[in-house]
Formats: sequence, structure tokens, C-alpha cells
Amino acid sequence: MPAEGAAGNPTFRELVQQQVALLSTKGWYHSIELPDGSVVQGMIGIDALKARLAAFPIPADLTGKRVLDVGAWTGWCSFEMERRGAQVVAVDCIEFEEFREAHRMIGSQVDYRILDVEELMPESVGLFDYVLFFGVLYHLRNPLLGLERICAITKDTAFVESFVTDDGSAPCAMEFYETNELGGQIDNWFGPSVQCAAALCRSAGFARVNLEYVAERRAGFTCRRSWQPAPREPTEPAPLLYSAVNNRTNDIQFHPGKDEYICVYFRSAVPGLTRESLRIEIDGYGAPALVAVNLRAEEWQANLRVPPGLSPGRHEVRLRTAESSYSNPFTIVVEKPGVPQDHMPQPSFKPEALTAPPPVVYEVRNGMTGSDVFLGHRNEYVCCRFRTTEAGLDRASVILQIDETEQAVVFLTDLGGGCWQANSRLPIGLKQGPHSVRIRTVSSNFSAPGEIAFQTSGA
Amino acid sequence: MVSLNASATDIHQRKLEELARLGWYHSMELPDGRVIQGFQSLDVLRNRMAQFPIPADLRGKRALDIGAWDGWFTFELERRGAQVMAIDSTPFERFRIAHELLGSHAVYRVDDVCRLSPTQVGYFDIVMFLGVLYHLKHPVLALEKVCELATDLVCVESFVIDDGSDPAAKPVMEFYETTELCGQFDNWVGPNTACLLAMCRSAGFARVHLESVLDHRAHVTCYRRWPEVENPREPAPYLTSVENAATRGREFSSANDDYVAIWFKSPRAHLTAAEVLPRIGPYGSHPVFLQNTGSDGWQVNCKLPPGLAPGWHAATLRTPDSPWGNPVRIGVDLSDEQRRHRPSGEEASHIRVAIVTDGKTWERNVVHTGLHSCISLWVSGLPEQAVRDRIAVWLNGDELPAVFLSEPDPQGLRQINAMLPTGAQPGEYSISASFGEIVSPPVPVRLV
Repeated sequence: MPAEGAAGNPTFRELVQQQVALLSTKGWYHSIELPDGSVVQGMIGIDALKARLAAFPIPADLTGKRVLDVGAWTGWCSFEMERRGAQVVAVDCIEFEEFREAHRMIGSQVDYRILDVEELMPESVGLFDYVLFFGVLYHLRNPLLGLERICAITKDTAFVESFVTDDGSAPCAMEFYETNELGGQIDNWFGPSVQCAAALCRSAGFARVNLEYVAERRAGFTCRRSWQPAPREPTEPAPLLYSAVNNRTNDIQFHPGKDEYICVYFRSAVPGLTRESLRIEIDGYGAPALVAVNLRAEEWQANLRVPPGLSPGRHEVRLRTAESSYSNPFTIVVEKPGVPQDHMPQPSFKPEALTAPPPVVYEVRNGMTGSDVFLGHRNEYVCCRFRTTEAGLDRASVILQIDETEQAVVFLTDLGGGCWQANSRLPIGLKQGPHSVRIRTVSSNFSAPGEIAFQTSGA
Repeated sequence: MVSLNASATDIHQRKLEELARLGWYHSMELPDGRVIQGFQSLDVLRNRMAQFPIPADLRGKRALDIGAWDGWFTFELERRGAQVMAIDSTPFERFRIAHELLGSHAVYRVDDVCRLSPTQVGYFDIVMFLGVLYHLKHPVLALEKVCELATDLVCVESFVIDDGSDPAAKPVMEFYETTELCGQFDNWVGPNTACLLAMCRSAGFARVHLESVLDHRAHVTCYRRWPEVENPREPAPYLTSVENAATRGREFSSANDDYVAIWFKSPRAHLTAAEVLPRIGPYGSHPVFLQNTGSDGWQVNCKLPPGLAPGWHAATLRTPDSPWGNPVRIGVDLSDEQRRHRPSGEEASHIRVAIVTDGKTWERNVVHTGLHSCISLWVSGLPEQAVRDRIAVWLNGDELPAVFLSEPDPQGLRQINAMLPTGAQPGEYSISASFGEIVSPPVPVRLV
């Protein structure tokens, strides 16, 4: 018989309602220890509060650290973090008189703010080394949005505790509670399975998510923003990172308000790579790969979400495999919020004085198949690889010519060692047969032509 | 629409060749009768549209097509006479080409559904939300946004994990971390039909109706309004009080997940949540909670419907066969100016306690002490604009803040509830009510 669900379960409902009754007589939710050693008895005893906290790897000494306690309620966790030396911000969605009273009795310096989880942003509360996110997730109508907000303000680690629907064996899914199905309370919205809660934490942008415990329909997760340090003695060769681009636009620009994905293209000699064996990071923030695709031979593509919390400006993407050191960095740019997103300006090619020698085209291929034959499918790109003595090229400084038609470079990357790759679309109305591809830069003349063959589909 | 003339044929012929090569998802019927064959045939597209009760004549209506892709639904709504805005998360060249070939006037906008706001795009009579929901990481947020933009009807089509045949199914939603669904990494959630319907209701619609589930695609029509009753045969319910369920005040914020608590009297002996139809401004909002508060008294809670303009709105409700009850004004996102212009009445001169009862048993002039003990007064002379936080009950000179204030009943009496302190001792007391500085004469009450 499968584990009995909590929703609509009279026993679970009875249990919750008993707790609610107990809370209304006690008044206090957390018990609180006062400086003189006396204890204000709340619904949850000091021992239970200590045991819950001890299930997470939270340092005993938090001197110099900034800690956020989300859903602080009476504030036991906030005051405990302060006792360990941290500078603490406590947040709740409604103001609790008991928190104020305990704060006064303890003589606490904790900064108490009334904010919704959706309102937690670097601009409103700053960044934190550690975030406690206990007993809040299942009260949110948009649980993944809440976790994204938490991730964006976490520099190091978030500790997530939540109601869960199972013991860890159920598939990745969440129950939805339209009214008071869960425990007779109307403020519960989603009940994730253990696997689903972990997946939500990863999807929110945490690099590593570790399940600490599952007991009595509660689970604890430690969510870290960085990968483990690269091995001191790597046994695998480091990948060569060709590029990291926006999967919608092929550009290096990303918009902070949008749901955007990075495509990384890289070369690695490590056989049998999977998404789990990749460690991709942006400015030190790890981001799990959603897919890893072996394009051909040692050429790979991986897609990932832009990790939350990147400030506007330039950021460096790097990756490694499980046992390698990190690759070369590749720079992406996060735009300022509110930049119009419809059409990003396309760089226009403006020739200058011819001061550099022409590039040398050494390979022209169909980006989809790796061959030099094109069938006219809309996903096909011309990938033109060339050598040049010039450095610091960007898309605006290179142009392709296919027969007599100039084609804008939609993607350009430095392959290292004076080698580059430029991608473009095929011109409209290309006739069946062979065609020539040339390339030039703003300060050089056209290269000698490379060749492609064009066959119409079905031909 | 522009028909194709001879001199333009060459250009259009080249375009058509280009289109064929680009690969279309929607098929497209051109003004001259030619059809661009896409992945989905015209029959398939017409059948998707036919799942929803969309009027054939949409003249004078504003419509929004979210996730327009190649634009067949956009152009079909326009053909029926609507003024249409099409939205997609990424620009589609094929939409622009079809737009030009059809001579369409639809506005094309590249935007994310979760960032749409009425201040930027306005409001729409009809919103098409087809094949988008399961691609979103925050499905409830998206449905709330869509609800906010709609004034009448929203057509939702989504992938579902079941066939919708079990009406008692527990609402669940699968979550796709990577490429679990069809190998695509742009799918995030897979609700079952029950979960899709529950999320639509929770987004703030008055009522939602499952039209069909075809091959793992559910079609749900979401209505923002209750239908009107032609010839009501029951008396109207009487609203005694309307409050913000969290703050107990008369004001609401559209930025919060605010709920409206309505206390009312109904002559019906039995009521279920499905038989109570609350309305705030023009929009219906279905009950999330209903309880009998004693004899003919009821309390119903509903979500503050999204999309209300800042200002004062009438809250009311009806039962299935009754006219609307008396309207009670609530404030939504009030400016200081609007707050000053709240509905006014004459100032209180003298107030009088007409009736004192136990707040639970309704026994007159007697109150039972103990946990959650409550006292109820019926008071005359309170002005219409009196608010609860200026009202208190005085027990032998001890102030008990009012926790509830009703609207005036037909005799002009307003009910005030106050909680009795837990340590109150039995005995004879005097009790009075106050509004600001004005205090009623005391009346006797016995605590037992």
C-alpha cells in the first residue's frame, strides 16, 4: 500500500488542528531562552528547535557573517544565529508581537522586517552568506519563484526545510492545495515530494543540493551556490570553452528579468560526459547543466539557466568536468533591468583602413550536421573557421560573404591560437550546387574562398 | 486585408518559397485562398479553437493571444472582428511575414507572460492562453497575470498528464527539472486535469469550466463574471460586514494575496460554497471558505479578484436564484486622495447599546467566561463611516477593542464583537460602547 497522503487525511488534519489549539493557548510558537536562563515556553520546545537546527551543517562560529532568517516567526533561529556572532536580518510576512517582545527581552540587534518572499531582492535586503528558509516553501503559490528569490540573495549556502508528501521514494511531483486540504489550513499551497523539493532547489539556481533528512513529512536540504573546489591533481584534461551564448539570440547579452538560458560550446577529450559530470560556473556561482549534447567527436554543447543574482555588467563563464581543472573563461554581459527586450541592436559592419592581412579560411561546415552539405533547414548555420593575426575581434568587426551576398555574423568565438569561428545564416534563394564562402574583418581584405554545397530538401 | 495583385506576385512567390523553407508550425490561409502548409493543418487549428465558446462575432472586442507562434489564432480572432494583440517570448519571423501577407493590423509584442501588466498592454475581453502554461516555471503567477488582464473570458489550453476522466483525482503536478518531458528542456510542469482546474480557480476567476481533454491537452474556459439572474425567485442576501481577512480593515492591496471576508444573512436553510456567488466590482470571485456563524448568519471568504483599478469598489453577493445583496464599499490600492473621499455620513452624536448577548450562544445580558469568550452588542447611532479600529467596548472601565463591526441592519443597529479577557471573573458588570470620544450610556451584563 502506498504511503498515505497528507492532503485530506483526517489523522494529519487532527494533528495540525491540535497544534493550532495548543498555539492559541501558549501564544508563543518557539520557546525562547532569556539571558537570565529562564525560558518562555512556546509550542515548540528548546530541544526540538536545537535538534532541527543541528540537522544542518551551519557553522558554530558565524562571526562576520550576514545571515537571513526567512519566516522567523517568534525568532528563535534569528537569536541563535546572532548568538553565534552573525549579523542577522529576520523577515516575516506579518508582524509577530512575540518576536518584538523576545527581541526586547534578549536585547537583540536583529533587524526585523516585514516582507513577502517575492520582495526579497539584493536591492531590498542585500546579499547573505547564509539563509535559513524553514517552513515557508509550501506556503507559497509560486514555490520556484520563492526559491529563485532566496538563491539570488544567497552568496554561500541556503538551508531549506519544508513539508514534503513522502519519504523520498515518490516521483518528482507536487500536490496542489486549493483550499484547506492540508491540515485544514488555508495557507498551504503546494506539497512537493522529496525529489521534487530537491529539483526545485536545483532549478532555482543552486549548484549542489544535499538532502539532510526526511522524517515525519518534513525534509531538510542544504543548498550551496558553488561547486566543490576543482581537484588539486586533475586526472582529466580541462575542457576548452569556445563560447557561452544566449540560446534564443546567439548573443552574449542576457536580460535579468527574463527566463534566459546559456548555451555553452566546448571541446573535451573526456569520454561519456553527462550533464551530472559538468561543473559550469559564472563568477564562482555554480549552475547545473540541463542538457549535455555530444555534437560530434569531442565537441559538446550544454544548456543551463542563468544563475539568479548576477548584477548588470560582465561576468565570466568557466566549466570543468568532475576530475579536471577549470577551462578558459568566456565573458557574458548581463544587461541593466528594463532594457527593451524586443529587438537587440544588431551590430553593423563598418570597414576601416586595411592594416591587417586577410584571414585564412580553413574549414566551412554545416553547424547542424558537421558536413559541408546544406539542405536548407531553418536550423542550419554556416560555421566558418579561420585564422587571423588580429586579436579582440567581435561580431561587428567580421563579415561573411556567401557568393556575392554579405551575411551578418550571428555568432563569433575565439578558439584560441589565432583560430576563430564565425557563424551566419544562408542567404535566401540559394541555387542548388556549390557556393563559395569568404570572410573579412573591418581592417582586412577578404580571405580566399572556402566551399559549401547546397541541396534543396528532398533533392 | 490586402489582396495579391499581379505586380506583387513575384515578390510574394519568393516569400512563399522562403516560408516553405523556414518551416511553419501553423498552417496559414492567405487572402487569395492559397494555404501555407504547416505542421498543424487548418483542420487541427480550427478544432483547437472550436473547443472554446468564442463568439463568431468579436467586433468591438479586444483580444490577446499569448504565445502566438506563427499567429493563426491571432489572425482568426482578427478575422472575427476583434482588435488583437499577439505576444511571444521570442520574435518569430514567420509571424511577421504572415502578418504582412494577410495585411493584418494585429499588434505584435515580444514579452514574457509573467511580466505583462495592464498599464503597459491594457485590458482584454478575451485572452487566448494556448500551449504555454507547461513551459512556465511559475504557472500560478502566469494564470494570475492572465486573469488580471482579462475582463471576461480566458481560454486555457495545456498539456496534462492524465485524460481528465477522474473528477475526484487529487490535484498533482509533475515538475520537469531537465528534459524529462519529450526530451525538451523548455517544459517545466505537467499538471493533471484536476490541478489545472484548481490553479485556474486559484488565480482569481469566478468560475472555470473543463471543455475537453484531447490527447493530453486540456481545454479550460475561465470566466471572470457570474451570469446575471433573469427572474430571481429568492430574496437577496443581506451583507452585514465586509473586511480584509488578514488585516480586518476595509482596505485591500492588489500586490498582496488578499482575501475578502463577507458576513451576510441568508434566508436559505442550507448553503454550500458553490451556492454563494461573491462579486467585487464587476468581477466574480468564488468562495474558498464558507461557514455558518449561527442561525441565518454566514461568513464567506474569497480572493480579491485581480485587475481592479485603484479606488472604491462595491462588494456584494447573491445565491443561485437571488438578486444581488446590498453593496458594501471596499478600497483597493487607495491613494491618499481616494482615502479622504471615502463614503461619508452624519457624525455620531449619541450612541446607545440596544442589545447585549453572549457572542456564541446569543443569550441576552449574559456572557460565559472562559477561553475565546466573546461579547456581542447591537448599537444605534454609529455613523456609516465608522471603522472598527476607532470602536471599543468598555467593561467596568476596561477597554476591549472591537474585533468585528457589522453594516447597519434594517433597524440601523450595528453589531460590535469584542473578546473577553481570559481572566475575567463572574459577577455583575456594566458595559458601554464607544466611537472615538463618544461613549454610550452603560447597560448591565452578568458574567457567568
